[in-house]
Amino acid sequence: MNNKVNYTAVGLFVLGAMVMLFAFGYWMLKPSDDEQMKKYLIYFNESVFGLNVDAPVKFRGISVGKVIDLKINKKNTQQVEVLVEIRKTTPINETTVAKLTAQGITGLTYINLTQTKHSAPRLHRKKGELYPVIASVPSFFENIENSIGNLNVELLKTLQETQKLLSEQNRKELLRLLKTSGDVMQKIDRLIDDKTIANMHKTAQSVAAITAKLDTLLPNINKMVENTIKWEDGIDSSFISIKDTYISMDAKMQSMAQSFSEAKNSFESLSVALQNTLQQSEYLMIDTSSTLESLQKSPSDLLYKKTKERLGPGEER
Amino acid sequence: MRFFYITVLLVILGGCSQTYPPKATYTLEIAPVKTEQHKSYLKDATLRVDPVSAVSIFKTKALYYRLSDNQLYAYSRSEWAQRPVELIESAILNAAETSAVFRHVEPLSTEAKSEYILKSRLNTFMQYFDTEEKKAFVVVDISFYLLDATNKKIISSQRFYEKRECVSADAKGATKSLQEALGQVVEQMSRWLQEAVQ
Repeated sequence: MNNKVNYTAVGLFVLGAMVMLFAFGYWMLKPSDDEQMKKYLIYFNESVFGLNVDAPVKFRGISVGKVIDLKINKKNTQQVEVLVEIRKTTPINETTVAKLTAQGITGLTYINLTQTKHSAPRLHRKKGELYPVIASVPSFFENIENSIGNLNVELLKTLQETQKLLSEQNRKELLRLLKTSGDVMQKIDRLIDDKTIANMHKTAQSVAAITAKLDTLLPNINKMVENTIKWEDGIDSSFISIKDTYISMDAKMQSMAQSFSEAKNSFESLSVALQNTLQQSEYLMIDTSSTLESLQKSPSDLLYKKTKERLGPGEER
Repeated sequence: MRFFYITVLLVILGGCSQTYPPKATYTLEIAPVKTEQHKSYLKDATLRVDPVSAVSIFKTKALYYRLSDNQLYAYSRSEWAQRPVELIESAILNAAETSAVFRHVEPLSTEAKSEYILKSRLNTFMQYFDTEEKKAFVVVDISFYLLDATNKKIISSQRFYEKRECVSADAKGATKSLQEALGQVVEQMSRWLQEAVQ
């Protein structure tokens, strides 16, 4: 028996094994996909209903990451703290903002990132922060909710101002004015009667009597004018307040109109997507229906094709 | 119990052992439409081409033919690469683009705002045989509707019908003749679009 060892073969084998070991080590230690991701924090001041762990994070509609944790902010319980993981290659800068967006009619929500300025500096972690914080903006539904809330407040203010206008003092002033006016009218009425009689019988005396009556009326008229001016001043301030309220309401209405316009665009986009999906579903239904129909005619075709094919003109078996 | 499982497995594998001859797959290649004002567009507007509507037999990949007694069959060894409605939509898009009637021509999926909408209904796209199945012809029949996108009112509508004899009474002859007939229809459509917007 020849037990001579071939040292060259052994050496080559050992060298080969070492090369494979190094290759395996490099493969194990090379950066994985997880290490290509970066974590960011987002604080939302609204409900994150529909947002779950693993929900997508999109940048201008492109999926760039996912939600990895959701919890209430311990420092401010009105806020929800969302920890997300985003690809390092995503251009997150200081103008990047996060918005909760509904995912069609499914009730699910995802985070949509947008930025207003492309050339802004890249977002970095600030002192005291565990991760860089991306600012959040209210979602579409939050905007509508706020607009309706503000509208309610403005309406309440209007009602209060109107109530102030019809206050007890103003009503008293109005009543006094009306009473004074009534007195004046009665006096004028009497004056006219006297005047008629005087015109008929004593023309010259009448003129003198009228003048005398007018002299007595003048103080009353002065008083009435003063009261009217006071009343006008009161009503003027109320009208200014009402005008301010309406201007504020107009701004809110414009904001709502803008929100509705954005919503209209979103719905149009959704409608196109839905139409495409329905078309694909229709094709699928037609194919499924055709397959089921052929199986209904011959159930054994499911395993063994027993139905004899009808060849078309020019076709051969 | 083990014997039962083995038997079931053998029965299923027995079904998989059957083989069938391959199917020939056909598509359509429509030549670009050439018009007089090919270099500049006629209307500075966007046309949206909506998907073609049709009955369900034109929404499958089966290549149907019709016998003289109105019996409808599909070829067993031949089929379309795409559904006929998709092939026709693509041909309409190409023709509308190359005819240079509109500045932009977009399919529905782009979601772009448009001033005009082109809707179409596929009435027939089929091969017909005589009683002895020796001779065949094809028919392409499509209705077109040009709509104003702002008020959705029809500006113009037109139906184009094209009939061609098949060079051979089989699937290959059918696809070749259908291609020629469809090319003729989309060319007529381009001319009609030009007249409709002027």
